[in-house]
Amino acid sequence: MRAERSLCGSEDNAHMSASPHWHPVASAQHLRAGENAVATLLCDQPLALWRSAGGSVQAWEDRCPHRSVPLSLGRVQGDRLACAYHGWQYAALDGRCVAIPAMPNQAVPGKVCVKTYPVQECRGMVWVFLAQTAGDAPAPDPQPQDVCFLRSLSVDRPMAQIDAALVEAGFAMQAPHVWIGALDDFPVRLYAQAASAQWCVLHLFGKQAPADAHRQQLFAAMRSLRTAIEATQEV
Amino acid sequence: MPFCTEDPNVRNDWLTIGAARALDGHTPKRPWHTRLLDNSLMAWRDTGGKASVQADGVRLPTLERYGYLWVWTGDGPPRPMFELPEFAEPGRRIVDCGGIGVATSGLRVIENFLDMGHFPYIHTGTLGRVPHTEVAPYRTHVDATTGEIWALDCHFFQPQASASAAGGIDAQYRYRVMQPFTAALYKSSPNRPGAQDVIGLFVQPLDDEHVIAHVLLVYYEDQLSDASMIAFQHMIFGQDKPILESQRPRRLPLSGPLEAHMRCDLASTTYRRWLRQRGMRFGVHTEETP
Repeated sequence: MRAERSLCGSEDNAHMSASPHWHPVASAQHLRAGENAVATLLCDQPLALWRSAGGSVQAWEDRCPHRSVPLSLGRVQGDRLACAYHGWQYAALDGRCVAIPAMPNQAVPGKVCVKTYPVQECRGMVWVFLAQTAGDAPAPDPQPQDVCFLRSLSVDRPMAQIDAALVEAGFAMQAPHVWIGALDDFPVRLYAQAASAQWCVLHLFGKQAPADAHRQQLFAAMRSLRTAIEATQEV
Repeated sequence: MPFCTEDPNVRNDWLTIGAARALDGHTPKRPWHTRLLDNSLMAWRDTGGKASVQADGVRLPTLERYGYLWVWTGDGPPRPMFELPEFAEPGRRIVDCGGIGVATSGLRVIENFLDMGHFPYIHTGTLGRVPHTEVAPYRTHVDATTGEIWALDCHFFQPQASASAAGGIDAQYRYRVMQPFTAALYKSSPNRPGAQDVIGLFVQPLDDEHVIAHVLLVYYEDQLSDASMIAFQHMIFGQDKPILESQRPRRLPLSGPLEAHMRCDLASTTYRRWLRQRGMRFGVHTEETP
């Protein structure tokens, strides 16, 4: 779609590599089998994220190819996602339409298909590749380690500005959208999701689970970091 | 301020601006205000009781018909209003359900009105219920004389077809599209076997992506209060509104691969083809529109 062309191009250029790469979009524990799809935005492209009964994560264009209603409003039924509007059902993995309830006795033409994106789980995060295939693109997080998800926080600034502010705050970029550093002396890992050209989501992970008392302090430090980033001027 | 479109399909057509009773008590000194095609309108009743509507200080050709106000924003001489003879039939109850704002193209609102396939999913328990999901084959045609679309021989299982329906019925439907922004539905009357109640949907386009949808009931009904008939329609429309406002693009694509069509979408595909053949641009999605 239009947004994908214009924004992801410029967003990628602003980011050390001009080639497309894996983008973090949600913590893996946010997507549970049997639960409704989660709507998110990546490079201004609306996505529906869900987990099939078989356990695999799906990242789909958030638009039913029948009447353009967001599929994230629909119902997950086992290994299928059914659109809220007319109940058309789409299969996990290939996004192919497998049932049209208004025509229960007819075979579904093979050409009706949701646009799906390559998706993988890596160390507690779900990663999406905004192209037809990921090819031999490098793994999303080249130095994975055991981490504990803490929370996600939206930041009302473009990615380039967030990158600059994170460097300023002492963070180091390990790979596209992957940052390591410390918050309140606690070692953390940040995954930055370029939701749109205007705003992003930071997904915060700790090396291990913090003590309950420390958790609140950590969240306060995270909010302070956001406030500091949002106070910076556009680069 | 000019109107926001030159599309002759919109300008050379009767457009509603709401129920005629909205003008009650309004005078040239204290006009009633509304909007149409991104322009401000002022309306009132003359001392003789005649409805007057002005845009940019210019009086528009105005008709009061079917309990509604209709204006003509085009340059040419207005053509005759579409016929709705049921409005004047003895024994019919006329109930205006008021207007509801919807943030989408009026063409999407009309298309949704012509669609039976969503009944079990959006109007669960009233106009439809799973597993009764099948849209049986029906037919459409464009009337050679009036140019109107008709969808005929439609029927659908409905647990509660109207406010007064006592149980499930296989409701018989006919749909009619009189103009791009006006449509009507004829459905089995639960109170008079063999007769059909009429629901008019008159869409007032505020711009390409915003409308006020007005609903008129022309029913055989002598038990229910106006309030309960209106409440039923508002419940139904309140179920459609969030779905309509979630569609992206908001404007209706008339061609191309963006949206898939099946035989159960015949009324929709007929409507889109009819709009395409008229060269409709207003409220239409193209590669260039945002």
